[in-house]
Amino acid sequence: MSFILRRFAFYLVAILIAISFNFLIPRLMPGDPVDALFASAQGRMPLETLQAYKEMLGFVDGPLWVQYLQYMKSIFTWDLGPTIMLFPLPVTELLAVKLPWTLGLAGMSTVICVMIGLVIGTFAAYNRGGFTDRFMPAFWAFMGAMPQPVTALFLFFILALSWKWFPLSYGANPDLDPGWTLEYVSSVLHHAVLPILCMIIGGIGAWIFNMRNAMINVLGEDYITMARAKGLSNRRVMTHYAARNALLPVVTAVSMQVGFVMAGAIFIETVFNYPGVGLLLFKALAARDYPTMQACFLMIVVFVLVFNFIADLLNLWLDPRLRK
Amino acid sequence: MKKLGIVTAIATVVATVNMAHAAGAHAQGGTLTVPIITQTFVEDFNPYSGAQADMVSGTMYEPLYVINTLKGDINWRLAENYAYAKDLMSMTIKLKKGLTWSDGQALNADDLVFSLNLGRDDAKLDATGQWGSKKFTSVEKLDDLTVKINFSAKDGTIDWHLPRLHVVPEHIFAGVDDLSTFKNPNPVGSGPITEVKQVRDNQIEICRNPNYYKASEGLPYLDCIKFRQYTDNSQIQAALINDEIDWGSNFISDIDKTYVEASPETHGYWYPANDLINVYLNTRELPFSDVRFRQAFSMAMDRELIVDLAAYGYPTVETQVSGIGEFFKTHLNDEVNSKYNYLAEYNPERAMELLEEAGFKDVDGDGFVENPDGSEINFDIHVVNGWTDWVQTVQMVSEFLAEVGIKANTKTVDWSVYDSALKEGTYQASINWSRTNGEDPIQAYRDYFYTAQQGLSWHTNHGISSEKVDKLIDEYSATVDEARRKAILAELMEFTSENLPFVPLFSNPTWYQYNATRIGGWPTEENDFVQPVFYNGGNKLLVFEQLYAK
Repeated sequence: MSFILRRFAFYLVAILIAISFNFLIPRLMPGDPVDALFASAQGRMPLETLQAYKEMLGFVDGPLWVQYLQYMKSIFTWDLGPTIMLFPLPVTELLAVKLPWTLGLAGMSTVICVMIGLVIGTFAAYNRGGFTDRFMPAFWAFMGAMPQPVTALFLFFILALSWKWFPLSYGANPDLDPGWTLEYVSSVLHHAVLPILCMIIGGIGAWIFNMRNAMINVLGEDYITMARAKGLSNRRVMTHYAARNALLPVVTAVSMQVGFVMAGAIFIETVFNYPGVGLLLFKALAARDYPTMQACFLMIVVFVLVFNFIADLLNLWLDPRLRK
Repeated sequence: MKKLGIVTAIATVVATVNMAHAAGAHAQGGTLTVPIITQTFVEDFNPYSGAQADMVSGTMYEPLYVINTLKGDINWRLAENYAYAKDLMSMTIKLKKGLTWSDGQALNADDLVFSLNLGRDDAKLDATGQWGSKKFTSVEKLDDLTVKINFSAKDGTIDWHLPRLHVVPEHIFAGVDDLSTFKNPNPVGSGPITEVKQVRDNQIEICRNPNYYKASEGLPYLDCIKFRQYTDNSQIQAALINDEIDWGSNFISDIDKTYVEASPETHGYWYPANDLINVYLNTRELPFSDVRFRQAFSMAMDRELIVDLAAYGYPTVETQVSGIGEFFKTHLNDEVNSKYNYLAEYNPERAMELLEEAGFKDVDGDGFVENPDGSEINFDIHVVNGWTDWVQTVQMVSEFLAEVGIKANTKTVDWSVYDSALKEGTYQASINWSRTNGEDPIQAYRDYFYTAQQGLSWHTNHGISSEKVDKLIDEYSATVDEARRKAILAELMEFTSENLPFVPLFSNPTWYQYNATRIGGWPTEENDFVQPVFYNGGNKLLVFEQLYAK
């Protein structure tokens, strides 16, 4: 119990520090958001209007520490302010639009990646030296080493643009009304195939290696020899004895991975016009949209730390040795 | 009996055919699909909030009139005419009779007065910018259809700014507390497309105005406009190729091969000249302080090659240095140009001669010339990181300079650095646009030289200005005499060509691609009825009016 409380306190402090950095770092960049806004309007805004916007957006005033206190207050009251790119849309509304898609993409692709990766890794380790072991890890490592934009563009050009098997853009068909109808859900799945495929191709190599190495470690243990000596079938030894123990480090890795994937996949989102958080963050950076940037960073930080905490808890639950 | 039946039948057929003709040249129906670059769509149809202005300006809220610079005439929309008072201290605008909003209520002088007065107390609502620049003093209603605007000083140029006004319904907007954050759901508009059919994150569809003032002419032919969301130019290119959208307004690389070849019958583009692109030189420091150096710079450029190699041949080469470009070709002055045209010709030998005459010699033998006082010449030309065609342009510029012995570097910088360097005049050389695509060429010279603009505009801080020029610019606005205006322009062109504070390279193309798979009536080089600029509400309206479903 005290372990959990200590961990919780640790993560709380970590979040506070991370939030403070979130505030400081964008402010250190040169340039100011209203000039960036003016640039995107390409001079269509009269100069006097520009001045008025500067005053309205207000954060050019006040010393840094006043802005900092304002920022901390806004986080705890969940009033993250309006975006600059789409003024006066509140940041929370903009994120609420993008977050489900990133969660869906990140969640689905991580789950599929992990499942397939674990199965292949287990097989490869157990039949060390066999075809699976010699071919799969190396092949998928090679595919994963290709830069994400290259894989994305390949799939986009061949499957979407030329053969037209899959759609070019969007999370779902724009002509359909969002809702839990069969039509809409199947459209969502149809649109998700290529982005998920990209993420899997890029990520699966790591999971195969992860699981394979964990398994190989475990296979050297005495209790495996014991299980075999007891006369249990190969499959039972592999799943109930070896894999179960090898999963412990993998669980930690998965939890942390989901946290990081929440940062979004910029390249995939750019190529497939997928409504995720990655590209939003990138565009917010270019537009010096501080409120949006801060909210995105906050979200990523919270997710990473929360999933780290979950990983800790899971380890505690799965591994009796930690409870002592 | 039988004969009577046949005659009746023929009469009916003829009557129907006549009715179809009276209704318009094309049948009604069809949807136009256009791309908008944004993170997500929101339910905001307020032209004053700016969030989704491109969706509502022109097609939902018609302007008073559209100045068609390509054809040199005015297309009257809500206004019937305008007239300046003899002393140029006021003007009257007369609205057309019988105009209605999409909810059936009358559109009259009350709405116009209301819309004009919005900018008086709140700079964010000053669409024309004339309250902020203190030009307007008051607005009066003369009668149900006529409005008078009073000026603070003689001004004959206000008519250029009026098309930017968004005329909004008083009966909807008057009750609102803060107009700049008002979302205007269920919009009531005056244009051809006002009824919002659906709002989704990635698509907004707006359909026909049931009470459109031009409905009797059968306009508009199309029923609806579908706005589709994209986050990047590159996605739009793919969507155009796959016939998902009809009208593109962005740069497409190698367009003949990637877009046109995919379907030569229906995929097309037209890139008429837009604003002039110049390399601005900071004339306050050496070596730019010597006009002969600037002239040599200009003659060292092979503009044709730059356009072909750096920009795929899309822009228009500029062959004169008077400060305006192909966009205002009807205003070009042959007398001035014939004197100074040689500066825009590719003549590296003459450039090198000029450098020698001016005292720029290579004293240390490194192949590059030094200043007359012996100090090194090695300057940076600013360009924004990521604007690939301009980066290549600047690279070619520095290569051409090296050929005549001038050492220059391409310096790619972040937007904010580029922006502040130009405004504050802390650059050495920088490539940038110019204000040469507005309503009148005087705006270009005002933007280049008017002393009060220094620090506010990108194009004014090159170090060359004069009181005489300021006075000429002021005089231009205070007169409507064509002959005097022409003479003033000629003087300004002579001043620009003589002093050459910037080196003109080429005219930016108007990015415009069209897809004729479902929609016809597009403007093209042969059918050039208007400059096809999507983000200009008036031009967009004029194009939309001609489109019909095939």
